[in-house]
Amino acid sequence: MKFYMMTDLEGVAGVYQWESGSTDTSLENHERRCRQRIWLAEEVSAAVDGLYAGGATAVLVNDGHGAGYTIDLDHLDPRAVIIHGQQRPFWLPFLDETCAATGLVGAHAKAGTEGANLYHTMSLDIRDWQFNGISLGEMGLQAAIAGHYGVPFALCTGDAHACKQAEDLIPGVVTAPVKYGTSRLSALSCSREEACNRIRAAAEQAMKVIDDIEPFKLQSPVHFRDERVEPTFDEEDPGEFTVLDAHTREMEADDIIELMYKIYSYPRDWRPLNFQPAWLRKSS
Amino acid sequence: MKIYVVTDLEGVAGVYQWENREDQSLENMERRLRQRRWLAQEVNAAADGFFSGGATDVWVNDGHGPGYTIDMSLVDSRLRIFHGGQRPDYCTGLDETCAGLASVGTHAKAETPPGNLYHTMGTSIRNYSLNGISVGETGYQAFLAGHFGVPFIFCAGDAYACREMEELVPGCVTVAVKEGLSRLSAKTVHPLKSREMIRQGAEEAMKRIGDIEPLKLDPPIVFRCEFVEPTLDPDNPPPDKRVIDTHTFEIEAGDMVDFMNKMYGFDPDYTPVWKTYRPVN
Repeated sequence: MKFYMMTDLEGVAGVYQWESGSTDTSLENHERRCRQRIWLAEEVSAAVDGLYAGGATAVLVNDGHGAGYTIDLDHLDPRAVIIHGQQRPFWLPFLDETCAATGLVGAHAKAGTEGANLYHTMSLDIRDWQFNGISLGEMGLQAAIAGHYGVPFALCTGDAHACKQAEDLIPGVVTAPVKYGTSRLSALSCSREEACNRIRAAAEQAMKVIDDIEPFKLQSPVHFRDERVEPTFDEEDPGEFTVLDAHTREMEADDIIELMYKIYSYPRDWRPLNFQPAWLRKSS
Repeated sequence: MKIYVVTDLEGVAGVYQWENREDQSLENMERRLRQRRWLAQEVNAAADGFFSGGATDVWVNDGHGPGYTIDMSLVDSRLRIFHGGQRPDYCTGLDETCAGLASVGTHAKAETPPGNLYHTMGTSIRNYSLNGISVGETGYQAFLAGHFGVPFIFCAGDAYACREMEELVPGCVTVAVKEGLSRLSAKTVHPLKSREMIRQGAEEAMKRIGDIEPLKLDPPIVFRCEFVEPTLDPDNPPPDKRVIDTHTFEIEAGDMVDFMNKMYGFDPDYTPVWKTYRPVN
């Protein structure tokens, strides 16, 4: 039973501010980033441990936060297999019908969630993303991609506001709030130890309810609406989109995977290699 | 029984100078990280005492300047920590569900020489008063707690801060982990000793909860702020504020919450997520 775990930084207990990667080269910021990467690795490890305890046999971890190197590998459970780095062939590579379930550690609420800590969808530029009229953040989009393959979204840990959004979207999903956002830049956080304890317990529980959770599927075709905070789009140069005004564009695709290819121009010819070294291949 | 703890840095044992968040030298970074550990350990010690004395929940407001001074990596697993900036109100989560308010790392109010690192909010302020009673930051918080019927029970920090709080709140337990010798010097106990003292004092404070009167003010509340330097323009008063002269403004309010909303422009309709989604456990 393979579990596909997406991760983010903003929903980790103890983190309450935006990560400033490239602009702030101060010692203080460096120390903070190193520390937060350890915290994320601890939470991911707690989830991996809980998933294995609940019956998982493989856990694929997507280091999903911006830079693609946020999980501190030296603090990570060795059973995890990591997807990291940039110029990826897809947002959630290897999430497909071979996965038993998917989940998210370090979740933040979607754009526009007043009172939530570090709420956003993909970037601060986006006011709202809607799919067939349903407003979805990153968690919802992940659930929809998993749902396309019949894979249920079973676990969400992070800000209580994000957990609530998961519960509203996915009946039966197991959530673990490890902090309670009190404004965009402040939160009531659990201690590090308590956060990891909650995540471990929730992950184990999630494995037990996989069969009871309906995969979240979007009807075909998928109608996508992209609303921006600032005037962004040019009606003269809409690309594959229909530009409604400078803030809003729309697109339709056969399914959510096709839509992701269109939005991000992912390479369509990429496939997993599935290479087995010769000496490990089973003789037929 | 939930205890609400507000923390500051200046009254922690071992700290004697202002925190400089601009200086990015290695020496300063090392000092800051060390002081954040000391603060976390004093907070843990206080919490341990509260739990021993019967507390079931301890919520800690990381109250020093930037809102991230408690070293989260060291925090006792039973604690819940408020941190960060742009907060929705002055002491989020401090309400009638709390059994007591406490203060760790406390410094004396402005104009308290030779208290170590004495100030009220910033060094530009000469005095705060509520209905004529001079208050520092901790007194200010004690009156906010009093609005909700919550007594101020415990203060750890500089001896001048402890004296200030005992005068304001008869019966509260104080733990003087240092004694200011000047604004920038102090006689202090060892950090290990301070934790032991704080743990004992916090446990003792739990026994006083029924006996300490919450601080109440008769409405209307008149808050007065006096600046050290000329700061205000009497012809352009800020919203909700009455400018008396270039050094002084007043705010009149119905109660402490109304005052805080007028003082800081908080949204009076703010409701925390634990009241609409699920309680903090």
